[in-house]
Amino acid sequence: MSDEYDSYESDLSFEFEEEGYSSEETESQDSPGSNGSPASESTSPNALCKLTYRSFPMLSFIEENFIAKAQDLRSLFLPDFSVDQLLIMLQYKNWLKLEVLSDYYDNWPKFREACGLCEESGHERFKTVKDFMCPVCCESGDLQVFSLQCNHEYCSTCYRTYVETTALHGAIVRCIEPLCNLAVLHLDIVSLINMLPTGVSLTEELQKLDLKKNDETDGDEKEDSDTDLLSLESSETNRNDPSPFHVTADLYFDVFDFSKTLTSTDGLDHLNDVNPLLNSPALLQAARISVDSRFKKFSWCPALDCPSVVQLETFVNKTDSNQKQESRLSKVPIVACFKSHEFCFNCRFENHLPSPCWLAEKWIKKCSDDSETLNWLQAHTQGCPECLALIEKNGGCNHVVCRKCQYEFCWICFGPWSEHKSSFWQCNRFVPEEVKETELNKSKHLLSLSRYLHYYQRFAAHQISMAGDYKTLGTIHAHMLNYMKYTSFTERNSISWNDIQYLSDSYKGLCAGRKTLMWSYAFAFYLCPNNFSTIFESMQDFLNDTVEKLSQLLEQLKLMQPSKTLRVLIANKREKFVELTALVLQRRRMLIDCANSGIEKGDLVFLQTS
Amino acid sequence: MSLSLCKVRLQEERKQWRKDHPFGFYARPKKTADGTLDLTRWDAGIPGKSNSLWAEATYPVTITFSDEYPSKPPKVMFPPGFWHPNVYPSGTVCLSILNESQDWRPAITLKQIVLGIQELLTNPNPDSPAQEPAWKAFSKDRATYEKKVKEQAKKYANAT
Repeated sequence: MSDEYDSYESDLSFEFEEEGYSSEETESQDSPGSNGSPASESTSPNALCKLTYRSFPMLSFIEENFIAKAQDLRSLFLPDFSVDQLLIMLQYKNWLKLEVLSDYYDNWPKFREACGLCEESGHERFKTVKDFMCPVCCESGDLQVFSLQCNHEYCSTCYRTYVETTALHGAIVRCIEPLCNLAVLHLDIVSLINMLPTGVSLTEELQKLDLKKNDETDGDEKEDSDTDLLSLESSETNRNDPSPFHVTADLYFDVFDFSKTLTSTDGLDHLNDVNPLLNSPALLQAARISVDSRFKKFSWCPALDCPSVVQLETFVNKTDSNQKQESRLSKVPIVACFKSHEFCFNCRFENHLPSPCWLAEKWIKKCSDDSETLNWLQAHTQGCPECLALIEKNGGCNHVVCRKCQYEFCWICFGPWSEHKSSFWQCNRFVPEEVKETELNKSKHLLSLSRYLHYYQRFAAHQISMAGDYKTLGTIHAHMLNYMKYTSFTERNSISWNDIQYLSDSYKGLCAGRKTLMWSYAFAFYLCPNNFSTIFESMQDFLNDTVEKLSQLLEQLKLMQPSKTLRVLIANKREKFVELTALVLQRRRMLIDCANSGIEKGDLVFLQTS
Repeated sequence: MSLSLCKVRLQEERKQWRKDHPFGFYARPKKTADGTLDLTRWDAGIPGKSNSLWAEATYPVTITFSDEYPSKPPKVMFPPGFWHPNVYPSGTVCLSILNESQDWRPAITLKQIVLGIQELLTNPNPDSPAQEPAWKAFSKDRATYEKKVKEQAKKYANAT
């Protein structure tokens, strides 16, 4: 049993590179001044692009760019100050260490005044004052008040609201008293935010809860495991301590559960426990501003609520207006965030290879604006000759009455219906030029519409399938989980996460394949048809074929029920999965290479129309 | 019955104002159609400092408090077209203590606001212009500026 647990653990640390690195980060933070780069450099997922970057969670950004700097200052130059005080000085000087030092040595009293720091310490922040009237909410009675060293007392509820609103500006939060310049330190902000109505801080409360829970679990562990086993289909033996499974299971789920919405602070709770400073919304906001203002080097991951930051190590020239039609795929700076969401640093959109940036931008615009609605309207409707309201004829005779202006006209010749009454069907007479023009125009619109729809439907289909694959993988994991729980109690040689690691890899490969396919349709939409575009399309077919096969294989696994044969099946399928995934990735690379060389040699030409 | 924080605070502001307010100033909540007082909209008058270009007149402003007051500052407006470098063409006053992302604090009182505006009248802040004509005149053609200010003072001159 214990051997197996070991193997799970080692597997985990391999699986969770980001988790492993986070704990390293927190360790390094214990020794002040160690400003080692936590995230190792990565190279762009776009093999054509020579680009190095680092990606890390936002909280690491705060630790590295703010807290580590303060620790540096403290250990090397200004040991008399707390990290919290140094953070205020740094924030005042826009996080530039040297500026802090020069101002400090230049004129400390003046600098201290500007930052709003106080030399006194040991002031009691929270007090209960009898018969106090808060100047903000006008509440009176025996109230809990908060004040800094300046003794400007306000009720703690108002203070908290004030801090919460002001923190959003990203600047140093000052005392609530008008014209008082004293800074509210980040730890004070955290204690105000965590404050419970009674004045007990949230962390204390949580600690108490934790202690309680530990006490309980010591005694109840056995019962827990019993109930867990009962929920399984058949429980034979009764072994203790299933807790390692709970842990591994949850962590493993995180790998692909990236649709889970994350608020700006969660997902990294283990870091929060380590340094309470990281709970400060003011610091968080300062980090946001810091990243946004250095957008040439830093970028948020554009995935929904993903709290990661990417920092470029190589400088990327943002496409200038004069080279808007930059089509070389080697200029597409694809990066991946630490949660492995791939995106383009240039347009901050998902990995859009093989489309160059300008094409992706154009395609997105085309899909989102209603230019296609207009195309449809032009192909299927006619304007009322009087009021120009658009009319679709979905049945009935050619005598049309405009619902809007009540004008009566003939659908064939657009002349007034009154003329038709006396000489019936005079519009049957053929006037060659007129007809040609309208008919030609209409068929042109129809053609352009159906051409767009052709590519869009394929683009969208893969997008939808991706969500489907994701669901399928979720179901498979649920099965696996049950099965593994079950076998761990009954068999010695149960499967480990190691055995199904390939599933996660296959899913990633599948997604990558689908993404590339999606964008290859956008690419093809703008391509001039010629011999080389036919080659591109056949490469597309190959990739499509392999992707569908892989997807099908995944679907087959979903249908299986947890049983003893599952393990054999998993082992048997493994080879096929690995093989197909490799094929998908290879064909994907070939498609991109084909697009790239086609563009560079000038064999693939883009249409010049919008 | 629990009143909102905004209402409680405004009632207190009114109480304080009636108890004591600086000389020459006035401030009262507007009346609604049915005759009750609307505490979120006030009419106030700000006298120009004596011995200044602005003297001998009381300038009317309307002060509007949002529901988020006192977390957010009220909006203070002169009549549209008011001649002052830090007043927008709409009449809105541009002042750091009335700016949420600058010096606004929830504890700033009505008295401090009107005194702040009185100060602004005589000492405009050329670094944050809000209208072009007055700002241009103030920084380039002081004679015209002063003439206009005096004309405006005459317009709002005290009835006495």
